[in-house]
Amino acid sequence: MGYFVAAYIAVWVLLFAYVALLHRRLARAERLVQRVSQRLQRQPPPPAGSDPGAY
Amino acid sequence: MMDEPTPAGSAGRSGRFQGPWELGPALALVAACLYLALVWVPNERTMGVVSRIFYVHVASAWSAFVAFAVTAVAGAVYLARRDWRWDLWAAASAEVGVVFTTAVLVTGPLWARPVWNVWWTWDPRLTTTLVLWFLYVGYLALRQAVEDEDRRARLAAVYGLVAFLDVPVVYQSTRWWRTIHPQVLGPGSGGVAPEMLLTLAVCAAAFLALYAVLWRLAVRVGALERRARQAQEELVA
Repeated sequence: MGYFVAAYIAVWVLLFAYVALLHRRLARAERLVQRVSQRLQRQPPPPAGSDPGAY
Repeated sequence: MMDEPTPAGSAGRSGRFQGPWELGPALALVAACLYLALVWVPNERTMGVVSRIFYVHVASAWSAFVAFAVTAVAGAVYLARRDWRWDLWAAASAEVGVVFTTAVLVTGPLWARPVWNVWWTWDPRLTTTLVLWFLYVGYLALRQAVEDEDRRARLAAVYGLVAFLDVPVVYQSTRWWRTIHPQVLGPGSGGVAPEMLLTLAVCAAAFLALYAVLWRLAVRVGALERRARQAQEELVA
């Protein structure tokens, strides 16, 4: 009985641990994208007359 | 192919579950699988209650096979088209496949201990499955080791195709070599009762649905991580 219960618990613990890991990675990537986009917005615009394509 | 730049807020929302309909079918199938496997199906005559491990063990193995097949096919399409999305799909599938193979390698010994009186034996089915797990952990390690995106995708696609050769070997191992691992389906097997077959079919469907949900989530995470890397590179440039 103990082996049977352990097997079922192990499968669901493994799957939930993987989902938790994915959510952590997702949150980290979201924070990074947000931080970088905020820093890009704070950067001063290119000087007048400069090539906008080069920026 | 490059991502279209999007505001950080929408990038965040793309990673979330869109609603209950995305998880609903998988959860309904999992509930049905658990009811059938834990309550409805009778115990196998000689093994008793421990025989119920069979349903999650086999369903995990089949899901892993499907996951690695998707990795191989997506890798082959990447090599033909050089579209980064196929590489992303291949990588996400390999990751989920490793999780299901781990489930197989955990539930197998928990069944073997009371039935065979050992946790592990170097039986062909067990050995080839362990090799499969190492092959795909190696696939994930390779992806971490190569910095350049195109080179990483190319190498991973070739590696994924070669690693997939072990899947038919795992499947056929109980037919090709002398083994003590049970062979319950296919020619030469002992066969299973209709109730057991129905339970196995529902559990296989449930685990395939779980694979689909996890794969979609892993794809979203991979896409967002790629966008984050690109945004960082943009900031540095």
